Amino acid sequence: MRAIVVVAIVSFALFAHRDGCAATRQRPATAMRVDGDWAMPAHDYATTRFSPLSQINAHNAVRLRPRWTFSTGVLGGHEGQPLVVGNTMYVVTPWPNVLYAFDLARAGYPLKWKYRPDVSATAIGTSCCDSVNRGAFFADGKIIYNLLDGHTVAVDAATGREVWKTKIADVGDGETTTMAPLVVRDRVIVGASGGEFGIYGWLKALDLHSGRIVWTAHNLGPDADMLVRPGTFKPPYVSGTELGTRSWANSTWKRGGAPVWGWISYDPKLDLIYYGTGNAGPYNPEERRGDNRWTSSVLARKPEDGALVWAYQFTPHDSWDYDATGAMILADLDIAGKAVHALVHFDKNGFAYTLDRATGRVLVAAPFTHVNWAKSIDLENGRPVLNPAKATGISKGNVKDICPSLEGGVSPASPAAYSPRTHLFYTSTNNLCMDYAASHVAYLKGTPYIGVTSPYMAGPGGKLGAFIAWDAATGRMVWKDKEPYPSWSGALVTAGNVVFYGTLDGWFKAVDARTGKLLYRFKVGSGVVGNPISYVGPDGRQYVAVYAGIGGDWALLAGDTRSDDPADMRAPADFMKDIARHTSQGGIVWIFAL
Amino acid sequence: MLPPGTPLHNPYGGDATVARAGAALFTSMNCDGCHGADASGWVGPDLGDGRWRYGGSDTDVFRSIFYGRPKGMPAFGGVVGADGVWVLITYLRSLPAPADEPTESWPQR
Repeated sequence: MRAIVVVAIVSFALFAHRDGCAATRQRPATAMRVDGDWAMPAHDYATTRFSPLSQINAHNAVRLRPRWTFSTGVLGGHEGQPLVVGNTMYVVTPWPNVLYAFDLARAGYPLKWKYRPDVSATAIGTSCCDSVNRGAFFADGKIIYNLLDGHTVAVDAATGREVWKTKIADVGDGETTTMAPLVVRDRVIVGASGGEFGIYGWLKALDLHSGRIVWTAHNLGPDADMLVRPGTFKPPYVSGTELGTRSWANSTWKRGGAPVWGWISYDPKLDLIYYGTGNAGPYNPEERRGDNRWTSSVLARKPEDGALVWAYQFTPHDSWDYDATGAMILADLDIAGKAVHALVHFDKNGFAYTLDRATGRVLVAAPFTHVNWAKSIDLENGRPVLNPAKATGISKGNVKDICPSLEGGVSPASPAAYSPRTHLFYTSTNNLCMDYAASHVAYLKGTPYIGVTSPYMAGPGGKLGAFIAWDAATGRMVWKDKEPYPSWSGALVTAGNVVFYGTLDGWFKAVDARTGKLLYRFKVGSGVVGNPISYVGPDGRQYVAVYAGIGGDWALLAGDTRSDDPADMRAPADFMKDIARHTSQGGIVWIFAL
Repeated sequence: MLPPGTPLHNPYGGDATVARAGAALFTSMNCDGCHGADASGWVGPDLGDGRWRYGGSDTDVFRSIFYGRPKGMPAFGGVVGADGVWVLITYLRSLPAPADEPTESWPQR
């Protein structure tokens, strides 16, 4: 009873705050954050995906029920997450990137408006892995997100009118835009996908008010292009100038990839943004000898002018398509009795890293799934201790049984969550291995620049996925819930000590944050590759929302989950022939409550 | 000159040597990057299933490759020429039809 009273007071305070927001829309996004909203992709700048709400807890989660659903009308992979600001929920669909605004204050949540941009269909064929979108950002009274065809738009959150639209990427060069922007003060930070199309990867900042491009920072190439300025760039393990060209034989950096298709975090005290870069291209590493900096890396930059402050490469000379575009979660941890301002990252390469986020030095690194390409990470020099039997390239032929597969120990599209209550991280994982036969590939502008055949197989034990709890201070797994299929959704953890995630075979689950015990599950109509969120509705109650809609790589690999194209019939993926027994394509917004 | 609407005809139809050259061309033009190894489907559709989004006649498939299609199929006519397009079509026609795998044959887990 007492808990309910407290929540009612909190929600009353929220309404007051919301009214204040409406009156002062020009205030920066940081001042707008209130506990009951979900106004940015990962809830907060630290990208914790932690909700401070506690109405739903481990004791009552069994009473969760679906309260509302909506068909988006689109069948692509529904990655990303809705936003809730005040009494409005915002939903971005996969291509053609429709933006819906739902009125949560009225019965049945009718549309306030919808925004239908004109997005080129050509971009569908220039996307490596389905025409997905990873979400929007609310700032300054605007909903800001990327269209697949290389544009960023700002839409008036109250009216649905387009405020500005800026071309940031060139589909003709193999660039598409699937990532979720981050807004810091008056900078909108964006990046592009295209690691499979030989792009010259970058991060850009646009002006929040006009959409004008303020700076462009490449992730590889000459210091001048990377915004490496004398005296400000201090990578923890290497030194010298022109690291972004000297680590590439024969100027191969020009088509070297390093896309930005995941998440960006921000530390206001250090005034640094953090983001990961994707794989090096092409997939045959012998065509780009050297460490290939800064692919498969984390980069720290100043949001104001883009200056590079430090960078650390998780997978030097990437030879397995191990993108590092997964979330960089900022958490203050106690590591062996010492308070550390940490950055925690679960990499496709199967290692979980705990870094000092001021310097980029690795403090803890340990595998969170079955790994055999490297034995460990050397904390002295930050480099993986390689297993030479798993090195790839044309001269190596078909290299068998590499773990994890190029789908990753976790997909960067499936961001982890961190709870300051339990001090644990929660993440989806995959248990897949692969063979890897590299081949020569010629660069043809705007076409795939890949060059590998890489069939997958189940890792040890045969279960293809798991959802885990992880102690990043020690590098240890705390609990593990095995899943029959690769686990491909993001995580949500709440102050009620409930963790939410969805599965590829279409279950939405609530589990106990301390034990992993299943508390509630519901079959949501299509596989889940999106990220759950939690918010306070206009009635003061806590809600949880998530998309259902299988896609991303999994629509491609298990193409028999499609039913919308009579001209495209495929055999089931041979490592999980039965997934289509349990799901088909969809596009559904779900809302749950007690 | 052919009158408008005259169907196009593949000069290499059924030639196994040309089909092998087409398989090599399919890889070297990065077709497999979208349509998958053995043209079995990736972001682009399966090209060996006997089903065609834009029609399956020689004329239709020629147009798809030569001029491109919406949803991302680039125009390859300028890169491989009309002759190269026929070589590719000869390869696609040589692909075996995929086995029909009924749902009941999938393992349960």
